[in-house]
Amino acid sequence: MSSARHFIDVFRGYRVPHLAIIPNRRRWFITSGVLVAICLLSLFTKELTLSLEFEGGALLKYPNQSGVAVGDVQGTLAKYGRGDAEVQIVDGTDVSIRTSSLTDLGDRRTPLLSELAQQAGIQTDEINTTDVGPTWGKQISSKALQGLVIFLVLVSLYIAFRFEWKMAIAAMVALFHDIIITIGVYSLTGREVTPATVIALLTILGYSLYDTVVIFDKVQENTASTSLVARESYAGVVNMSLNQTLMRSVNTSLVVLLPILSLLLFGGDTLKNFAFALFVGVASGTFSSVFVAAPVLVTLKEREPKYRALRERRKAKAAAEKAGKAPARGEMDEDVARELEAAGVIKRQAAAASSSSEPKEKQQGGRGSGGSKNKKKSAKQRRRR
Amino acid sequence: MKPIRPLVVSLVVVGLLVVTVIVGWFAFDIKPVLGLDLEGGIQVVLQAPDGTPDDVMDRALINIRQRVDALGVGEPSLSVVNNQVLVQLPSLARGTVEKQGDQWCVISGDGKNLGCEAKEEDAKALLQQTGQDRLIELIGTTARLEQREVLGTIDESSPDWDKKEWAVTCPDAADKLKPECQFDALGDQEVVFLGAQPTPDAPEVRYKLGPAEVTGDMIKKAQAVLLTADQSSGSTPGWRVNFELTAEGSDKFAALTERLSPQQNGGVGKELAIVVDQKVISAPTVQDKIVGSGEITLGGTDAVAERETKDLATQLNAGALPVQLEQQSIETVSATLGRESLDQGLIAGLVGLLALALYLLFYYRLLGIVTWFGMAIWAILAIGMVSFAGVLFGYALTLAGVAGLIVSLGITTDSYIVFYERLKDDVRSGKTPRTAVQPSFRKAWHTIVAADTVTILAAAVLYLVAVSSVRGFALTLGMATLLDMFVVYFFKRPTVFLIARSSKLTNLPGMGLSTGVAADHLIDEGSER
Repeated sequence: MSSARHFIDVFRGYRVPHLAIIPNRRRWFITSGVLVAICLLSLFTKELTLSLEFEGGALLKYPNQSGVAVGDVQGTLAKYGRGDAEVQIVDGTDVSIRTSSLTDLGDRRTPLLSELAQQAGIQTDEINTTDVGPTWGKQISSKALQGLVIFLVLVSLYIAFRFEWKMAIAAMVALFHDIIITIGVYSLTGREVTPATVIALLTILGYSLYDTVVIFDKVQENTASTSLVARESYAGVVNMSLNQTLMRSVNTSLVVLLPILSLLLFGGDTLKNFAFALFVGVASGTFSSVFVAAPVLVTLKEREPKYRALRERRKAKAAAEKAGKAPARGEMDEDVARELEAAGVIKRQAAAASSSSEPKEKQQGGRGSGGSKNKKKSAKQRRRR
Repeated sequence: MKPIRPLVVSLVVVGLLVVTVIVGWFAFDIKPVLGLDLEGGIQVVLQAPDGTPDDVMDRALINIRQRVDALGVGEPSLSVVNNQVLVQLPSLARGTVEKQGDQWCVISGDGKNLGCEAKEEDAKALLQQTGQDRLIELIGTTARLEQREVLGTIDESSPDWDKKEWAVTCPDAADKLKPECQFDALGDQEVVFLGAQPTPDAPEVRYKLGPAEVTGDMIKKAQAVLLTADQSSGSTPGWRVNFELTAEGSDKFAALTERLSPQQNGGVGKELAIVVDQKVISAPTVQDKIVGSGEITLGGTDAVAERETKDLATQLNAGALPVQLEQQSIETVSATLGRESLDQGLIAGLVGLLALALYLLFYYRLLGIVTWFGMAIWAILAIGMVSFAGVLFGYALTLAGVAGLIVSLGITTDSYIVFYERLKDDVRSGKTPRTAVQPSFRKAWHTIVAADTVTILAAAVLYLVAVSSVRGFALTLGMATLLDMFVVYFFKRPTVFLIARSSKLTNLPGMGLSTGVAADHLIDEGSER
């Protein structure tokens, strides 16, 4: 009951969640690392299936005696696994089909052609087949890639200038994570890569960075307060920022994913393909902003001498506290002390249990009912103010 | 608290914009131009000589793509089939048909009158025709520029007119496909070409020309400019193409103009012919040695001259086609997506939006409804922008574009979420909803601008660098994001501020602003104690 209540309170926003995301960052690095490794492995061992827009294929042209509609022709092609073929009626009198090479169909080539001929009310030999080159030529890809590289350089400069360069690196790491995962999923599932996939990938790119920047903006705002950083350490402040923006992340991903999910479930063939890439990418983008970009940032920042010194001091203090000689807390704000403890406990345990990971596990459920009482109290106290 | 007036004014402005788009749609038929996949378009088949190598065909394709892209962002589909290039483009009816007096007039995208007809259908056909003619002219012509010395000219009155030495080299369209008429073959020969005729019934003039000395591939950059009468200082006013030459071109051009200059020819300069596609466009007399750049005067100041000049500049920038192409056929092509798949997409989109709307209502209560309105306003203005982009630079909405807009809608909703969650944050730290709105908006706005800048940066770079459909995508993305910031600032900000002023709306039980930002719980607990 109490944990359900707690969940609802967090969901509604009556209280800030206290999830230990940053303290457990090694776990998230391993999770992402494994996912990326699987995707890369698949990309290296299995080639992506490129659609006819990239590869070229066959162009079929024949008179349309029976006045067959685009949808009907597509239906017939779909039966032979060519649902992605591009069908057009030319000048109202001819059917034109672009599809990947028909020789791949083997034995089923002839039945397909005769079915198409029958549908259009003509003889099979009236179907004129020629090879057609790609419509999405190498030039489009190379120009898009060129644009991408320029964009990545500019956006890194922008983030470095607007925030700081370590955030730029963290955002780029998250971005590559998302791109590798999305392409990897295409490789793993053997789905066909179409121009729509490429456009979707570009959308993901924008979304991933957008989502990361929203979180970094909060991190920057919170770390601007030196007293807060001194109290909580850089990692603690980032963790706090993530918790503060958690419901935003949840709601935004829901809001973006709902229409995409709907397209994925109910949209036609072409849209499904597009929605699939978007779904994977947006899901990955939301995940990476919280669980990749922010942890990478912390790892980079904690290397800085000033934060390392701070961490050492806090460790020493925590050790002293653990030894039972707790410093007088009287004059300290109760609220601050609670928060310090929340972050401190984690540090303390991590330091004490560097050889065995067992005690750390206990601490991972930030929502656990044990700690919840204290936190609830402090939240109420804050509200009363 | 801020004065109420500016808030109301900004809401009124947003309202007026929405009304404008709706009126434009229903009263003036300003709708988005639909792309090839949704509505079909035309297909032009261009034929190269038999046995043209594949790499030459590929270069021709790249060149044509560059020319088409300069025309707008209508997402063409180009492909090579043996020795043919297939060019498919969405509807070319760029511009509008307007009623002027008792006539229907065709107004081009940049506001020029292209002619009037008595019937509306005829005017629409004219609109389609002008677009089509221009396109075929632009993509099909080789646009090979040559500069040759003029060795002599004659017109019909000359007794030598019928002599063999004055016969025009490769006179017919069919000759284009002969190997001996290709530019490379004629480049170092003396030729006889026709002069361009200012009007169809003007007398024909033939030029005997020396070998080509400077060619179009030596042009670094070409630009169409209009020279007004007072700027022209002696030379003919009107449209002209100014071009800059590469280092190689500059040397050759300097040598050529020096050789033809008055200083080298006893005080009288010789004529230099500017030849485009085997036709002498102009033959000015050289006054002095010229280094680095030059110009091609086409003359005329009207819309036709402007279009011709701009298209020539586009062609020179894209470079000459590596092979001469002959237009084989123009056909209309249907949409590649059947009606059903489009309907399916629309239904799916609506279902998704409905789910989204319900969630927002459930989570943010009154603020959720504000978000509905914000999204609706965004969507209407986005349609307006897409329509406008269609009229202005031929932007055609494809299925990918539609799906992109749906994602952008999600991202624009995020701007609301960022703000509301900020409000919650501030309420949790002790502020009342009333006092929190303004500082929260300031902080949220900061975040939104930072995040949107990244997206706009992506859109701008891709638009400038990429080609074809990627450019179309970049345009949608950029427009959608700018629109997001606009709606956030001029609709969401005043609306939420106004709601916060009214204690009735703020404290509406279960629905109000306080519930939306989870402040009600706090108030309840406070009163309990």
